[in-house]
Amino acid sequence: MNIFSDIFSDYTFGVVALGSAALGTVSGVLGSFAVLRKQSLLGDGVSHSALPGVVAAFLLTGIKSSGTLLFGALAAGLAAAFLINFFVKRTKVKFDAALATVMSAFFGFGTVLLTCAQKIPDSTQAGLSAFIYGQASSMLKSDVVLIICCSAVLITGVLIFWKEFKVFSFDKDFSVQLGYSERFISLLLTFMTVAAVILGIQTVGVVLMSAMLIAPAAAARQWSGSLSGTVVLAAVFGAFSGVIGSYASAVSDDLPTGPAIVVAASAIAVASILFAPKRGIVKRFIQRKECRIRLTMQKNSGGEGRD
Amino acid sequence: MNDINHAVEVTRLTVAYDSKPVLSDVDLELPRGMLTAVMGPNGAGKTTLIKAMLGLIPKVEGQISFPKINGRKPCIGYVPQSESVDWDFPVSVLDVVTMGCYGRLGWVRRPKREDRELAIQMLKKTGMENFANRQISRLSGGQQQRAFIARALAQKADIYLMDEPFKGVDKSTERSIIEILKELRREGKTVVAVHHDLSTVSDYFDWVTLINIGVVANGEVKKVFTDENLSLTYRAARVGGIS
Repeated sequence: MNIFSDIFSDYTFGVVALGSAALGTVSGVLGSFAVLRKQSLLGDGVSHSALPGVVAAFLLTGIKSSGTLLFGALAAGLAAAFLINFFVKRTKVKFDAALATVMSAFFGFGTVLLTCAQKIPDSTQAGLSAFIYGQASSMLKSDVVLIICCSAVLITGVLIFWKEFKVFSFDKDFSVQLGYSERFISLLLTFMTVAAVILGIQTVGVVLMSAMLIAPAAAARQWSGSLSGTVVLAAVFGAFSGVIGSYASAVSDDLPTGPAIVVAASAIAVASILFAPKRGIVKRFIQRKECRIRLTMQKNSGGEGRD
Repeated sequence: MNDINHAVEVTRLTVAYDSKPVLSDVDLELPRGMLTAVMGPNGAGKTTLIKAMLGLIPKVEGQISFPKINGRKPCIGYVPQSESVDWDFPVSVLDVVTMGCYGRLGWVRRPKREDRELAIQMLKKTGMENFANRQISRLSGGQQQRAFIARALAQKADIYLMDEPFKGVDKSTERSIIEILKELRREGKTVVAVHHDLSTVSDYFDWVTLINIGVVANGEVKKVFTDENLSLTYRAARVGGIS
């Protein structure tokens, strides 16, 4: 109990938990739309592709502040997203192939750049590789402020364009027919998703960030049948994973925060897929069994009737 | 050419996917206030024609216009093929039908109580009022179709373009849908529907457009819906084609 209260009054833990919770919230919200639009993997492509942006931003400016590096990441992430989109629209290459190609090319290039950066004798480049697996424990108060402000802007954006995002995600042609610009909505939604992913890579890392986008949303969809329910629940699951992951990492010595957050989110997703009341595997298994028993009994009693 | 009694005017429309024309040199005028069937074999370009009219796909050349009605631009309603969407999307039937009101609301403004009331009224018209709060994933094919029609009705349009409104529905649903279409006609609305069943054309529709890449025939059902035109439309060799 003593450790427990110590942890919660700990300043570092407070900062990390708050930042991770905000991150979980915003990636849950935007992840819901990505999952429902069957673009779950976009987050994975964008986060991996952000790596060369991070390193290039450092090499060009020599500054290692979160703002600069994340700006580089955002530029690279957006470039990747639009490149993927371009391949899908203009060539016969399908979404998954385009994504895999762009993502590995960018990530490979990022790794090369990282090696170059590490050859610089100066020690300022140390810590860049933390972007690969994330480093939440190094989160500063200013980082948390940045995360919270950006999350607030992104969530406000979703609330403002709620109706447009809803009809666009459900039935794109119909939304265009209603007079909404497909280009604008799709651009905005992509930009916001990329921004949410980029926001998280410092904490969770480029490798695992896509899980933050998908896991809370996939879990939430199991419990709710409405879009607002799915989005709110995904936000709650995301925030909860952020806090749990930070807590687990704070009480144990070696547990890295980012992966702990992702494990928490994944555990919620697995539990939801198994045990959700309507869509869960267990419930559906029981229903099928019951149905079979009922049908067999009906058939048997019917058979006896005829005999 | 600008006959005010036309609901839709299509001139020299060509649409192509890659380099293959799907519609070639289509000239069409569809009458206002009537039920029009668009018919033709698979791959004839029926869906493409509807989508091109709505501006959903780019055209290579040609013009599509909807002449003004009483001096104002007509409002268009759309019923897409029901398999064009993911029916596992987390929305209720009422949510879907309310989307029909979004066009009037424009950007950002939220649907109000009167929009939802209108949506419920449209659900009543399609016999779907008991399903208002049901998840769309739990609808049958016929119910999905009726939900889409209710959504189009909520658009309060002057001209309705429907892509196979009778696809996958049973006889009684088909009858209730045709009653809705006839009511729209009584209100002076125009309906253009992609249709497949040759045996019901004369009963259901006033006008028929037979297409196969190009227009084979376009006119009143009793004049145009002849064996000769049908065999021209449905024969194996494509009519029209690349000129």
